[in-house]
Amino acid sequence: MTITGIITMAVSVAAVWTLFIWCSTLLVRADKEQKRQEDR
Amino acid sequence: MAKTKRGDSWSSGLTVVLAVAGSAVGFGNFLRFPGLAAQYGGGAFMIAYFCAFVFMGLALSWMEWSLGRCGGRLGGHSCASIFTLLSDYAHKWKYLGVFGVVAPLGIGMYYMDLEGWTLGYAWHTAMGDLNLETPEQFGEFFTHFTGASADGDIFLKESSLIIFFLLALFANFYLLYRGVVKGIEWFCKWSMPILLLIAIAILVRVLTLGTPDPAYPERSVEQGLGYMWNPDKVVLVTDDGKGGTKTLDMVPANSTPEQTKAYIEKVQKANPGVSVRAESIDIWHGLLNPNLWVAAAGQIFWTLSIGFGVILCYSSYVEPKRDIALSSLTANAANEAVEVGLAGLMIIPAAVSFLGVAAAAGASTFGLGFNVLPQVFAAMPLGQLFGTVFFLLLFVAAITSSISLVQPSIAFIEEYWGIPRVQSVAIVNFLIFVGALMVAWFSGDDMVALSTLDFWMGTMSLYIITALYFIMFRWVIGTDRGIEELRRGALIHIPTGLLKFVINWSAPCILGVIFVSWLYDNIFNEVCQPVRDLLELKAGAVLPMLWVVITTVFCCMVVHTSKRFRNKTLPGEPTERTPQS
Repeated sequence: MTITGIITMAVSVAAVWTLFIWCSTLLVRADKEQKRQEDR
Repeated sequence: MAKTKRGDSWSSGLTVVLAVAGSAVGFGNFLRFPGLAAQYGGGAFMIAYFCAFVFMGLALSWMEWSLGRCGGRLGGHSCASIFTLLSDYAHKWKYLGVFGVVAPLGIGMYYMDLEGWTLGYAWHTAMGDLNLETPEQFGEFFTHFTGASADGDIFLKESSLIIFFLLALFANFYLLYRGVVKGIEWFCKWSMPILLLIAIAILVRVLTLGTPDPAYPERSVEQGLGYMWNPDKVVLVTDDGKGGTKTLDMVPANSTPEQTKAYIEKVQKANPGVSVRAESIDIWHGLLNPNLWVAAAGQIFWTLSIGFGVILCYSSYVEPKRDIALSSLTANAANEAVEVGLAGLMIIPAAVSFLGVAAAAGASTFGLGFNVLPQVFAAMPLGQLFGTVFFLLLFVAAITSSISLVQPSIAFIEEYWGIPRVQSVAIVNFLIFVGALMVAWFSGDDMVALSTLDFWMGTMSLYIITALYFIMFRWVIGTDRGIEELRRGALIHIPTGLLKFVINWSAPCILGVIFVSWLYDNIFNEVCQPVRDLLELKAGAVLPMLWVVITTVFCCMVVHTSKRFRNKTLPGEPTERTPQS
């Protein structure tokens, strides 16, 4: 595997996982917040 | 305003994301994407892929979510009712919306068979029936199992497919009968995390394979990853006899010119009788190749499930106050994480490390899944276990997709006829069952029924429906109102100006180019097989399409005879408001 191949793979994989983790964290936090407000 | 019933709304933001991601994750993620990325050279393809994601996929997806939630607020849950409500009861939209009901149903007809394939392969792998040796034996198993030897062979004793097909159909019936929350949401809530865990377990196994056979040092995980991701590589090809080329191998990365020459000679010796030549692939040549851009944009279009009518239906169950912008982004990110972050590291390296580049290169989606990978699992230590788990993973991915394909039609019958869910599920499952049976019966003659439905319903219809979405979003409700809907309750900032540009200009242009290129490849340049089958009036092509036409007529009759969604207010009906009010 070449250096550019490793970089391509690492950047692509890191980009999609970072996006997924960031989005789902925001969504879970918002869900919890909404539930707390509904419980009140 | 007519509100959706509380019981028909998703219980949280995360569950709708899991359901939409479950719908999008399927064969395309695990089998189609790795093949395409490797074919076009990882680096250049990924640049085009991410560009298409940002400048087309994301906007199309937001557009569909926005249309769906807007229609859901007015009391519609199927494409037909949503189009009717959003167009202020325009006559033509009532019937145009039927396309968005029939297309997923038509796809569901062959998807049910594919689900039977995955379940059957999981069972037979677990039972050790796939501990075969030669590629011919694997091919023979596939032919017998799927009944591809001749029409009607699935009913022979050698093929157990009918049992797995019926099991898959029953599983779908049960989940859909339980409803959106107790069925679809419940299933996606536990199946998607399991799918992710299974995929990670298989990935770890694949990445720790090393070089399984020391007699073939070039068959390694590293070589597989290199073939998948290296932007610059030298592949060894030969003429395929049809005017194209066939990939035989790849020169290991970082080889000196002498080593490259020696490797070419070695491959030539291993392939006597064919002329082997080296072809360089590099990132700049890749980016200047229009086919690469079309392939990357096409993959984004399919993988995000745009135009299937599924997102439209699922997002209509999102409560009006809730966010859809972040939900859409999360569902797409989940789909991309599975596709790029898991399948992209797993499938090609596994195939290359056991069978070499030639086996992985150029294999069709089904060829890779049901011919190449079983050979990999047969050769892999603990392959029986990992093979079973892998096909169960495909089954879970397929079932989350198939329930999403059928739900729009169930919602359609329920809301137009006002009948109990069990009846609407029974009607829709009958339509699916007959279509799926035809697909299974006409498996001889190169899967003629499956390829016909895949071409007309799984490809052509999606372009038409997405074009209808564009018209609806841009000219019927207006881009500003559509974006306003997207921003309602949004948990992230929406760049309005950029999004308007993308929806009004870049996305339709990119999609138009993909469509024209697809038309050129399949009709104008050379009439493709599914079109020829239909023109030659082959029973396997005509009968399933006739069933689709009957289903379309039935759906139009449902629209025509129903008193719902006929005009703005009817005595005894909930008041339905137009978007303008």
